[in-house]
Amino acid sequence: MINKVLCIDDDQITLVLCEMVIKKAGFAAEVFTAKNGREGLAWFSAYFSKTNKSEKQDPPQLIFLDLNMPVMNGWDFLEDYLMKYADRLPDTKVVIISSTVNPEDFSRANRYEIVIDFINKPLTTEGLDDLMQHDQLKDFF
Amino acid sequence: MRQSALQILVIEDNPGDYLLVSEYLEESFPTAHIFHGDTLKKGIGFLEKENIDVILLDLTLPDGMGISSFHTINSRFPQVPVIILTGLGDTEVALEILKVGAQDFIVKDDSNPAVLAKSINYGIERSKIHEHLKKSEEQYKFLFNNNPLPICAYEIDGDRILMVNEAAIEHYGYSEREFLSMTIHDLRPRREPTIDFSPTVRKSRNLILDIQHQKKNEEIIDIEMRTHEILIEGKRACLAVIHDVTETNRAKEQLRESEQMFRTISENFPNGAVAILDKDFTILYTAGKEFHIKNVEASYFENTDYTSHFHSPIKEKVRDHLIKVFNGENAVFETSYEDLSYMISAVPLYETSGSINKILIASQNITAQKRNEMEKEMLIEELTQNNSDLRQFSYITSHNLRAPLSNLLGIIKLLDTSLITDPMNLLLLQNFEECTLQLNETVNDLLNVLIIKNNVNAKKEELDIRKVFERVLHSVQTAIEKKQTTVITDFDEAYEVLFNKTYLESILLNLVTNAVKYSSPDRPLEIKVRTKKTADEVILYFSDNGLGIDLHRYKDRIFGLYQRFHDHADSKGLGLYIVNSQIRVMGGEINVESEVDKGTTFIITFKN
Repeated sequence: MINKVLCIDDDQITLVLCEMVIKKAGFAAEVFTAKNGREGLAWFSAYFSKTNKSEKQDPPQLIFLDLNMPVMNGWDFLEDYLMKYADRLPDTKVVIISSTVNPEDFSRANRYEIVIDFINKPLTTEGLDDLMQHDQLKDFF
Repeated sequence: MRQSALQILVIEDNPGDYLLVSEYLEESFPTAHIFHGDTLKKGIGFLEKENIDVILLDLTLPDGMGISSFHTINSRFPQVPVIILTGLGDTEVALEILKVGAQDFIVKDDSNPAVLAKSINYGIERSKIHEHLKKSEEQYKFLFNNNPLPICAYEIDGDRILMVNEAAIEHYGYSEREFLSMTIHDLRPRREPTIDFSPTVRKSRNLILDIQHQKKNEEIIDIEMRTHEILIEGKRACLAVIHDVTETNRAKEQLRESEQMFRTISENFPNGAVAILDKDFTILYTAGKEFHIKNVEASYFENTDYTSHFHSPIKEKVRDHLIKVFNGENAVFETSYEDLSYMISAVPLYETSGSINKILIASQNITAQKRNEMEKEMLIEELTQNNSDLRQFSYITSHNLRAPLSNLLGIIKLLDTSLITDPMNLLLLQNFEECTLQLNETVNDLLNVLIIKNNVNAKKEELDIRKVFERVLHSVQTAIEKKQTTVITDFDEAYEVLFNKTYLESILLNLVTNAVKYSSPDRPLEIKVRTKKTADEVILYFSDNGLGIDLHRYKDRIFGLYQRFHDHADSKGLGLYIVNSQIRVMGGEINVESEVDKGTTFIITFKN
């Protein structure tokens, strides 16, 4: 099981469903959420600014990232994250979860090494079962 | 007259007569050399050695008598005049000899120095004139016969041909005999009536006529005939020198025609103009429809500098191009003159020596095309923008539609209906679930259409139809079995196609499910699939024995969006639309044959 997962999505219902499905499938022990890219980045910013080890929470091993979000969308989050934090968290991967049908989004996702999968909404237990078989994740299970 | 002294040969055997004659001669010609032969043989000896001017010949010689002596000498030395010396009784013989060529005769006993001198002088002179005449006649004959131009002479009175030369015989094909039996008019083309020279023309016999003649082989030739009047055997005649100008005329005509054609082409050069420039870019000639349209005389531009009609910086550009053409390159470039656009093509005109002193320029007025092109470009730009906007819009709406839908689906997945005990609520929930799934299916179908339309570059790969079809059948196994379906396949001829895998699966799945959906309730379903191979295509025939489609009514709409031909619960009118889109995006083609209540055959052509 994965220890910790971050879900970034502007849709509250989606976040609730994600959490439920993740728990139901036994995919991760802990789920925490962010409403958009900026909130997501804020979490990492806070994480790296804390010097006191005892105050530090564990970083997520996986980020479920939505693309279409207000304030800061998924791509902008990804660019910033890669620039500022990815190097320091080499074990954290990204899975995109989106309702997009724009082929450009699919091809763009392919260009990021950190993005290991692209799931079309909704996230289901079957989808998570497949994800558990993924080369880069199967060691967790 | 003579430069050297006169040389006189006297052939006389009688010493007395010789003495007498020589005395007369010395008296009349004191400077003359007198040679004396007392036999014919000796006389001939002098003739062979000396340059004798005149011979005095006695008719009674020991080795020659009378006329035969004259012949002996005259045949060997025809140019030397002979004066016969005769006695009183021989005058008749002497007269005889005069007829055959002797100059004169002198009766020895009845002569004196003056008579002898006069006879000798006249004899020499006459002989000279005669010689001269003979020579000129020979020359004339030579000129006539060997002249490369056909020459003939004809009588003025009656126009009968009197003489023809070799060239005439050769050129016309008539023999000399045939010519001499013809008049000059018989040489005219036989289809034309004889045109007699009018009396006024007749007055002047020195004419140049441009007429036609006909050869013996009926070939008609153009000739230029020059005539001038001569006398032949005392008759007035015309000497006609004939010059065959057929070839020249033909060449002239061709030249005239080609010049005419060139002018017609250049003056009517459509939608533009042609020009010829020399090395200084001076316009030597220009013409074209463009000038008519603009109401300008083409000649206004002649002798002006071509480049002077353009303003900088176009002028320099044009000049650079023209320089290239004079260096042997072809140039094609666009330029503008006033507010018009022109496409200029320029080519070098090579002299036979290989040098380029002139170039040809063809300008096409492309103003209208340019404007069209610009409008088209703007339109395309606008359309591309619109299309892109619309696509973005459709992505956004699709996304916004799918986002809540996927939440609904997620909720349904998570919902544990077993915990709901109220049957009414359970039923409502089941209907809710069904509606959600239906909505999801419709949205996905529509999105598929959208994605296919925008996915011209879908990956193509070598596919085995047999395997794909096997997989498709397997996926709908239950439905097929329910209809007690017989599936007959024949992929012997071809089973490999270059196609997108997802599309091929989708197409075959659509066709199979259509066959199942629209099978006849009266008979078990039978599906037949076979392939055919042509040079560059694989054709797939997919037949069923189902309800069929009324093609007379629906032919145009069968592959259209949201077209339904059967009242069927599952039918959304999308399947064949998607099939058609997928096939066409891959460069293939689908056709249909159907008969109501007999069955339907879909014919898919895969381009390889």
